[in-house]
Amino acid sequence: MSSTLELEALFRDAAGDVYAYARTLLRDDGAAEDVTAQAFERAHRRRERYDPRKGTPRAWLFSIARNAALDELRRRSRTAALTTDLPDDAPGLEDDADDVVRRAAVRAALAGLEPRERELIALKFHGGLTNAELARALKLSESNAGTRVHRAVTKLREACHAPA
Amino acid sequence: MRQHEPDPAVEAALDAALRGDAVEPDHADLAALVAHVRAQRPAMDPAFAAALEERVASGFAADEPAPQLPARRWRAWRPAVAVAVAASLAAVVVLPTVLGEDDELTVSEAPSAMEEGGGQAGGGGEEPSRAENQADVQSSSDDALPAPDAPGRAVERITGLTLTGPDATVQSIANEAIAVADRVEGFVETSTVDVGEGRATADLTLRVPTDRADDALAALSRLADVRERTQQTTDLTESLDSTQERLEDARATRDGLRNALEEASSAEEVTDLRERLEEARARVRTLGGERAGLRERTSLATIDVEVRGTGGPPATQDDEGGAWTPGDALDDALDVLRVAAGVAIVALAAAVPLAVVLGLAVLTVGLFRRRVRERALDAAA
Repeated sequence: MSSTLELEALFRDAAGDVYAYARTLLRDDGAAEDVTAQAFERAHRRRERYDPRKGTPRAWLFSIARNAALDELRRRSRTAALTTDLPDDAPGLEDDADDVVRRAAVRAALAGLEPRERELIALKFHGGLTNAELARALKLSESNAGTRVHRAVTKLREACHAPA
Repeated sequence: MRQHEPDPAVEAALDAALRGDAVEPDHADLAALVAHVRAQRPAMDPAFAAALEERVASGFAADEPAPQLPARRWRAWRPAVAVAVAASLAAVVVLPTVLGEDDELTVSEAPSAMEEGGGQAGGGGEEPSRAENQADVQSSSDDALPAPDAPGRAVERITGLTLTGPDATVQSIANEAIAVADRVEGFVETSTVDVGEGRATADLTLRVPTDRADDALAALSRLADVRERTQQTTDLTESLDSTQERLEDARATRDGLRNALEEASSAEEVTDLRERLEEARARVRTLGGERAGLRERTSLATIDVEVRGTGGPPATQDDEGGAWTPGDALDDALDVLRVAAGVAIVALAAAVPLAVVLGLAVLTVGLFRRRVRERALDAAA
């Protein structure tokens, strides 16, 4: 990442995903905006240190964003559960009764996951990271990252199908 | 396959659903799950997104300059610090070596005063010690002897020379020293060469004409490394003059007694004169020998040569004296490279443990920071 133009491209490609991840993790709009801004600011400052051999720009950005989010969590001493405090009127879905029930079940299932599992879901589903990118962001091996994602998704599926 | 091991088919279906592609009917619920989770995806406020995009586009130019992190400051100074450390190590390693080599080449001073008592023989010590004992001991690294005395003075010169070289060269150095004495028309007074297992020394006493002593010393100094040199000069002019005067007196006495003997008239007188004549003749012989000894001491300089083996390999032809040749330059260059390699090895010996410690410290700090961050995530449960 050696030029402003590339950072701009990365912003257009990943800013929304970074925000969604941070918002899911921090459960606070303002904190999520702060973390998103910090992530891009740090990426700008450290752009000369980016090494393409170590991962994609997206994985590098999420690694920075994750550190900023965890710093924010620690700084604020917030013991916020990683429940997804999301609006009920999410766009793009059929607004029938089944969907409403299904979305409620998903929200409850997400709330029941361990924090690290919810983070994995956020990075995978909102961040759109591949397993390799996840591994880079979480400083894990790719196989380990894949295993953890699989476990989190399995647990989420089971929770969604569990009787209320 | 165990429950928590990734199922490639599920993984493929998940990736396809995340990409928005169609999935197999068996994984329809997974696609639905992706759709429902993503439906709850938080969205950025458009105003915030626009403002941030503007800052990114400007390279955060409008922002206050971010304070430089200590790590960045360290990176800026790192080359200078590395050069300083390398220079310090080089100084620590090279200077003592150079100074140590210089210290080995010493020129010591021999005891100076040589009492030259006159009239030891025959005269019975009637001659007092005189100013001839103003032994002039000088030390110098030059090849030349001390400044010669004024014309007409009779000066004795004794020089001690210590040469060093590899054990295997001691014999050849001794042979060369003998050849030097021959070339200046001198001779070898004593010679001892002791070369064997773990030892190699040679001691020679050369006598060379005083007026060619400088040439001899110059030639000897080129045979090997000169480790020590002592020089001593003694002015024997007055001793020689005194001996000469006493010899002339003894001769006059002898001649007078001889004349008196020829004119003696009685047997008693003849007997007495003959005894006195024998004593006078003996005194003439003694003083003549004394004068000859003094003349030899002043006409022939003494050079005591000691050759010490250093135990190393034999010197090559290139080590010998003479003009500085390309071969010498190559040797010097190799010496420089050897010293540089030595400095590098010592620097590495010091730097590697330091780097390991620093690396471990950095790793520990990094792991600690990471653990602290991860704890924040766990605390959010």
